Amino acid sequence: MDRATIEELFDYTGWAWEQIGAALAPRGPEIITTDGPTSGWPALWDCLRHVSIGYDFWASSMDGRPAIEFDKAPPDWSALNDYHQRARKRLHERLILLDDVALATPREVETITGPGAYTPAQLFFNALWHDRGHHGDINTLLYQHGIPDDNWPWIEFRAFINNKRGYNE
Amino acid sequence: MNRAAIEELYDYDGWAWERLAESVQLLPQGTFERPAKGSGWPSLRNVLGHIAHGYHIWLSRVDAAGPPTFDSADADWAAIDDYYADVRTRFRAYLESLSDAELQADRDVPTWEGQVLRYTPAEVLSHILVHARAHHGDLYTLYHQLELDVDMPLLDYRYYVDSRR
Repeated sequence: MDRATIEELFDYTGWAWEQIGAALAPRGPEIITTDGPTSGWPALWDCLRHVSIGYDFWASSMDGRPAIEFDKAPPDWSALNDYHQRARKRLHERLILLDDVALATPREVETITGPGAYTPAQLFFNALWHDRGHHGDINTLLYQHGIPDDNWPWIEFRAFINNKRGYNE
Repeated sequence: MNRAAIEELYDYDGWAWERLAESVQLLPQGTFERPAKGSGWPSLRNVLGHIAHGYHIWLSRVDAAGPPTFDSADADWAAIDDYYADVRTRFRAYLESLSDAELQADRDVPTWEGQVLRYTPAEVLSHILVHARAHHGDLYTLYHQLELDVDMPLLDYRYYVDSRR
């Protein structure tokens, strides 16, 4: 993936996260921590935290510094959002530091399944695509909490494009 | 997204579907259609049919191939897999019919309830592929809810990268 696509996915996932936060805010703090019936996560907190840890993990893997301390944070949106934003900022700062040659040059990194050789571009995209892959989980959890789908965040890629173009569909 | 990014995501989505196909074919008979308690879809069939239908819906709005003709509500896995292959062929043909300039040029695209908005073909094609990715999360949830002994395949991008080496 090229730099422009990675930047676009950064923008898209950042915008989607904001929509998720805006949809959850009026529901009160318990919407984050209440288990969804039959959900394996089991709560939104667990899923959203997992998404954020994905950014933190790959940022740490690429810049060689420890992951951000988070486990002691209270399970609420404010703490989670702060962590999420710091992890993404750290990952994005790494992107800015790399020129296009470095971005496309494979390097050995540690993963949860052992060492592997990937370009930084592949790792950036992996972190962003991982985030998108959990949007379905979030909608499923909102369904399980009895929230009607017209109150779910509309976080399709086309909705992001609409926002950029100033469309009000 | 540019052509190279769309082509890579198209290839990724095909790879992910193949991994899902391998898994679905290991499921006990009736599991594919069985509703999961607490799921809004409610079954694996509904999600996979919806992913394929996403291709059809949005391609129909840019390649003038007409309205949807396939209903996945009562379809078996083989029919949905065929449908997915068909819409993927359409996607590829449409992408290849466009020059790079045409791919990035605004055009009128019908959306819902008669509304027409301006999008580039690249935006529409990207939307189809990004749409499919979100529903992998629904599939993970359904595998859990159905209490399957078969593992949901890992569909992270880096596993796709590994597979293409």
